[in-house]
Amino acid sequence: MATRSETRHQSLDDLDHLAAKCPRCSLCKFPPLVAVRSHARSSICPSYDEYKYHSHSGSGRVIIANALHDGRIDVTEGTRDVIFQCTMCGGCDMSCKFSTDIEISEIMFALRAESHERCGPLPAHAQVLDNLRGHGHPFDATGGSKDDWLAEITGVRTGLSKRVLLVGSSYALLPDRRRTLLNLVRLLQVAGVEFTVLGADEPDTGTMALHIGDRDLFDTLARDFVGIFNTAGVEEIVCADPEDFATLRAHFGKVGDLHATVRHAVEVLDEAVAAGSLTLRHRVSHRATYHDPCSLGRRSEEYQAWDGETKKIMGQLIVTDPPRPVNRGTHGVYEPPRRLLQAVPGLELVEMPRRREYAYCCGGSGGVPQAYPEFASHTAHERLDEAGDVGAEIVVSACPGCERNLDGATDGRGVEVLGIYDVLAEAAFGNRG
Amino acid sequence: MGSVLGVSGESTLTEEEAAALRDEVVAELALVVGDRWVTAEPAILDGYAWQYLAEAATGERWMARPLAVVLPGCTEDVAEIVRHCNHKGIQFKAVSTGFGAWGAAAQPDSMVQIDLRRMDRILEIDAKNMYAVVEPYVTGNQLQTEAFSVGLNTHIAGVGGQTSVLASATSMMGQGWDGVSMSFSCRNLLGAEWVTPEGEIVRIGSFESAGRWFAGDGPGPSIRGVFRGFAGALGGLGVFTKAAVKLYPWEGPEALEVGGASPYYETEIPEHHLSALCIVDDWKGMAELGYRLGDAGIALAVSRNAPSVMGAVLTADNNEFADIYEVPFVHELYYTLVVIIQADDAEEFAYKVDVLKTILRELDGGMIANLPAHEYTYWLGRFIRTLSRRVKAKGLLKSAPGTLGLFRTFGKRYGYRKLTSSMSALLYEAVVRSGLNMRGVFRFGGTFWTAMGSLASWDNAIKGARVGAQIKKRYIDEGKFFDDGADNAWGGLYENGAYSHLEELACYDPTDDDSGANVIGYIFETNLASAEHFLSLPLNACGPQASTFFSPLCGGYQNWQLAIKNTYDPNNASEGSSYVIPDYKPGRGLRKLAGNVMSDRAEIDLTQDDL
Ligand SMILES: Cc1cc2nc3c(=O)[nH]c(=O)nc-3n(C[C@H](O)[C@H](O)[C@H](O)COP(=O)(O)OP(=O)(O)OC[C@H]3O[C@@H](n4cnc5c(N)ncnc54)[C@H](O)[C@@H]3O)c2cc1C
Ligand code: SF4
Ligand code: SF4
Repeated sequence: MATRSETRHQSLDDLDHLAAKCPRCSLCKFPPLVAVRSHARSSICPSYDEYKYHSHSGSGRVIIANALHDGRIDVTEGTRDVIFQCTMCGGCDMSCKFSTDIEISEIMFALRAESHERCGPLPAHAQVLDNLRGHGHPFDATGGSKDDWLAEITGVRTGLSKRVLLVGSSYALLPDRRRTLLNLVRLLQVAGVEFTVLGADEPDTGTMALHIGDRDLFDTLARDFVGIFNTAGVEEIVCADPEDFATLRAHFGKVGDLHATVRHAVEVLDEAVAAGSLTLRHRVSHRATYHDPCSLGRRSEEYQAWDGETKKIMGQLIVTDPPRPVNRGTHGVYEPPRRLLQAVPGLELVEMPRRREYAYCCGGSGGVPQAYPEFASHTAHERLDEAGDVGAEIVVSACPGCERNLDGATDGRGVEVLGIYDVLAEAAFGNRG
Repeated sequence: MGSVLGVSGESTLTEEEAAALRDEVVAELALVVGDRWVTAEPAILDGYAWQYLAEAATGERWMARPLAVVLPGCTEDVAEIVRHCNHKGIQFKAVSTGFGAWGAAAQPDSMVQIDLRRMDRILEIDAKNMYAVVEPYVTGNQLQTEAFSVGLNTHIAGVGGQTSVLASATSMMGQGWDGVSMSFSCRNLLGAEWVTPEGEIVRIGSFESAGRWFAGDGPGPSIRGVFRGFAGALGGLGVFTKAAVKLYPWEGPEALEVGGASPYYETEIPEHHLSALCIVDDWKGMAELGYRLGDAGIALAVSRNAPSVMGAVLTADNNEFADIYEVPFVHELYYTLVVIIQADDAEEFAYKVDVLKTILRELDGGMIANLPAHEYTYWLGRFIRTLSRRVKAKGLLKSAPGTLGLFRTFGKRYGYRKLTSSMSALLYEAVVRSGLNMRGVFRFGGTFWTAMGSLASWDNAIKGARVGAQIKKRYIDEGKFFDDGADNAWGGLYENGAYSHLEELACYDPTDDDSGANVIGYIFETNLASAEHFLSLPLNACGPQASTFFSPLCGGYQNWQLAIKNTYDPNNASEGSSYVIPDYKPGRGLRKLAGNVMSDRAEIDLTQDDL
C-alpha cells in the first residue's frame, strides 16, 4: 500500500510506479487498434515514424524514465535529444490508456523537467526561455508588441472584465496568423459576444516553458497569470489558441487555483451559431477536412487532482482508493468545430482516418519546430498526405501552431490550409478578411 | 536480486574493451545502413533491454543491453550485417515488434540487435490465391485492415494485433482467438525469405510456375520444419525478411464501423455476423460444446476466456473491475465460450445460427448474443438459467444488488436499450480485431505469464487447464498471483477442432522483488505436470533452460534443435538464448529451483469438478 499525491507537478520518482508497469507492448505506436482504418495511416506517433528506434515511441520514453530512475543512464546530449524529439502530442498516452492507467504524458513532462534540471535546455530552446523571461512571450522582441493587431480592427475593448479573450502570443505576434485572429474577433463581435482583450498586458500562459521542462519559469508565469485573473474577478477566459486552452485546463491546476471558467473560442462560436446570433450564410464550396489540434482535443482534458492510496486486493490486483481519475483523451473539444464546419453552406466535411482523440499530430508542438524543424516538416507532410487520401481541398484547423506547420508543407499539392476562423468568416461575411 | 535462469551473465569485456568494440561496430555498420540507422546511445539501447518478462529471466526488469542497435532497410542490408557479425565473432538477433524478453540480449556487450522496423511493407495481397507477402514490421492489425478491403482476413496471434505477422509465422508459435477458422501462425506460413545465420539469402517454400508462393513445404524434408519447427527458433537461427502467409475469407464489410470513444469503443457488428457468449454447465459440457462447434464448422472464432478476463475487457480500470467481479453472476462465468459467426448472406447466417442453437439446446445451455429481440430474450433466459444452476439460490440473492449496480453502470454508459448489444460488440471487437488483449492480462497486477498450453485434443486441453489451475491455486493462496479464482484458462480450437489449446494465465506485479522466482517456479511446476499428466509439450518447453529438463521426457527434441543449430550456424552467431545454446549447462540457481519444485508440489486431483 502506498500513499500518493497527484496535486502538483509529478517527478520521475512520483511516477515510477506507473512507468514500471510498461510491458513494451507497443500499442502506444498505433491508434487504438479497433480504430485503425488503413495500413498507410496506422501510426499515431510522429516521433517513432521519423526516428524509428523504439526509444522514440511513448514506451521508449517511459523506458528512459525507468533507466534514469534505476541509474542506468545519464542525461547526455543523446538522451536529451531522444527526450525532445517528440511533439508532446499525447497520442501515445491516449492509446496506452485505452488499456492501462500509465500516464505517459505526465512521465514525459517529468522527463523534460529532469533533463532541464540536470543539463539545461537545448540550444534552440534556450532562446525561447530567454524571450519568455525577458519580455513575457516566447518570440523575438523585434517582432512587435502584443497589442499591434489592435490597430487593425475597431470596437475591441481592452482591460480586464468578466469575460476575457485570451489571444495568446502566437496569434498576437505572428504576422502570418494575424488575419485569422482578426477574423475570430470579427466573428465574436458580430455574434454579440461581450469580451475584452488585454493587448500588451496579456500574460503568457508559460506553455513553452512547460514543454521545454523549465518548471520554475512555468510556475512563476502560471502564478502571475492566476493572480491577475483571480484578483480581477474574471469569470470566463475564452482562448483563441488551443495551446493556452490545454495549458490552462490540464496544467494550471498543478500550480494554482484559477477561478475563471476556461473555454475555447470554437465552443463560444458553436453556441452562437446554435443560438442564431451568428449566421453562416455564404457558400464555401470546398471539400474540407478538419485536423484536430492535439491541444484542443486529447491534451485539453481538465486536470484532476488526486490524493489517495494504491493498494493490492485479491492478492495482486492493484486498485486505487479513492479511484484515481484517468484522462483518456475522450473529453477533448471534438464536436464544436465539426458542428461549425457542417453549418457552413456548401462545405463538404470529410474525415481523415485518424481523427478526434486519435488524430495524428501536425508536428508543430512540443518545441519541435524550434529544435528539429525537419522532423516538424516531415510530420506535416504525413498529415497532409492523409488529407490527400480523402480528397480534401482544404485542411481546416483551429490552432495557429498547426496551421503554420501544415501551411509550410503544402508545396504544390493543391491543398490549402486554413484556420477555422477564416472559413467561418468567409461563411459569415463572404470574405476571409 | 540475482538472475533466476542464469541467462544474463556478466560482460566478458572490460568497460574499455566494450566501448572500443561498440565504436568499431557502429562505425562499420554505418557503412552498411548509414549513420542514422545504427547507434550505441545508451538511452536508445535501453529501449531494447527493458522487456516484458525480463524479471523471470534476470530477476530484474532489464535484459542485457546490446552492443548496438541497427535498423536495416532491406534484405541485402540484413545479409551484410549478419556476415559482418560472423566475421567479427559477435552475435546478432532480430526483432520485428520486439514484445518479449526472448527478442533481447542475454549477455551484455555481446550482440547487435537488428530492429526490422524499417522493413514495413505489405508487398502483395494476392486476393485470388488468398495469400499475402509481408515484411517483418507489418502487424496483424495492419494486414487485417487491408485484407478486409478485399474480402479476406488473417489470423492474429493472441499477443495482439500490434505485433508482427512474420515474427509469429516464422519464429514463434501463433495461437490466437480465430484459430478455429484461420489456423495457427506457423501453419499459415507458405514461404519465407531467410537470411541464414551465416548471411546467405534463401527463399523457402514451394513455388508455382509463375514463381508465386504456394505451399509451406517443398518436396523432400520440410525446410519450414527445420528453421521453425513447432515453436520457432525465437531469433536463434538467422533473420527472416519476408513471409508469405495464407489468408482466409472475410464475409464482412470492407471496413468495420467504430463508434463511441476510448475506453469504450464499440465496433458495429456487421450484418450476418453473430457475437455470442455461450454457456454450459461444467467442463464436460465445455468439452462437448467445443467438439460440436468444431465438427459443425460454423464458427469464425471460438475462444475461451475466464470470467476475470472478460470482466477486464468490459471495464475501464481495476476499480471498476473489482466492483463487477464481486458479483457472483460475473465471477462464476467459468463455462463459457465466445463464438463468432460470419456468413455471406441471410440464408447461410440462419443456417449457422440454427446449428449453434441446436448444439446449445442439446447441451442445455444458453447464450447472450446480438439476436433479434424475442430470440435474444429467450436465449438470455436460458443463459441465466444455466448460470443459476451453478450459483444457486444463495448466489442469486447475493448477486441481486451487484447485478442491479452493474446494470445501472453499464446502462448509463451505453444506454439501457443498447446494454447487452454493447457487450456483444465489445466481445466481437476483442476477438475479431484482437485489440483489447492488453486489458485482459496486464492491467490486474502489471503483468502476467502463462503456462500449460499444449496443442492437444480439446478435452486434453481442458484437462491441462484444470491441472494448471490447481498448481496456480497454491501461488494465489500465498498471495503471489492475482486471485482470479485459479481458473484463467485462455485458448480455443484450431482448424475446426482438429487440435486446440488452453493456457493457464497467472497475473502478478512485476515490481514485487520475488515475482521472477515465483513465475519460474510456476513455469517449472506446470511443465512437469504437463509431462506427468500426458498433456503433450507445454508452451514453456522452449529455450535451453526448460529443454534441459523436458527434452529427455519428450522425445529428445533438444538434440534435433542442436543438430540444426550446429549445421546452419557453425559460428553460433545467431543469438539463441531462447532457442538452444551449444554446451549449455543449467546454473546453480535453476538447479536449486528445480529441486525445490520437485520436492514441494501441488497435489493434483482431477476426480471432481474443481471450480
Ligand atoms: C504478452 C504476450 C502475449 C503473448 N501471447 C501469445 C499468444 O497468445 N499466442 C502466440 O502465439 N504467442 C504469444 N506470445 C508470443 C508472441 O507470439 C510473440 O512474442 C510474438 O510473435 C510477438 O511478436 P513480435 O512482433 O513482438 O515479435 P518479436 O518480439 O519481434 O519476436 C519474437 C521472437 O522472434 C524473433 N524474431 C522476430 N522477428 C524475427 C525475424 N524477422 N527473423 C528472425 N527472428 C525473428 C525474435 O528474436 C524473438 O525471439 C505472446 C507474447 C507476449 C509478450
Ligand atoms: S507505454 Fe503503454 S502502450 Fe506503450 S508499450 Fe508501454 S504499456 Fe504498452
Ligand atoms: S507524444 Fe506524440 S510524438 Fe511524442 S511519443 Fe507520444 S505519440 Fe510520439
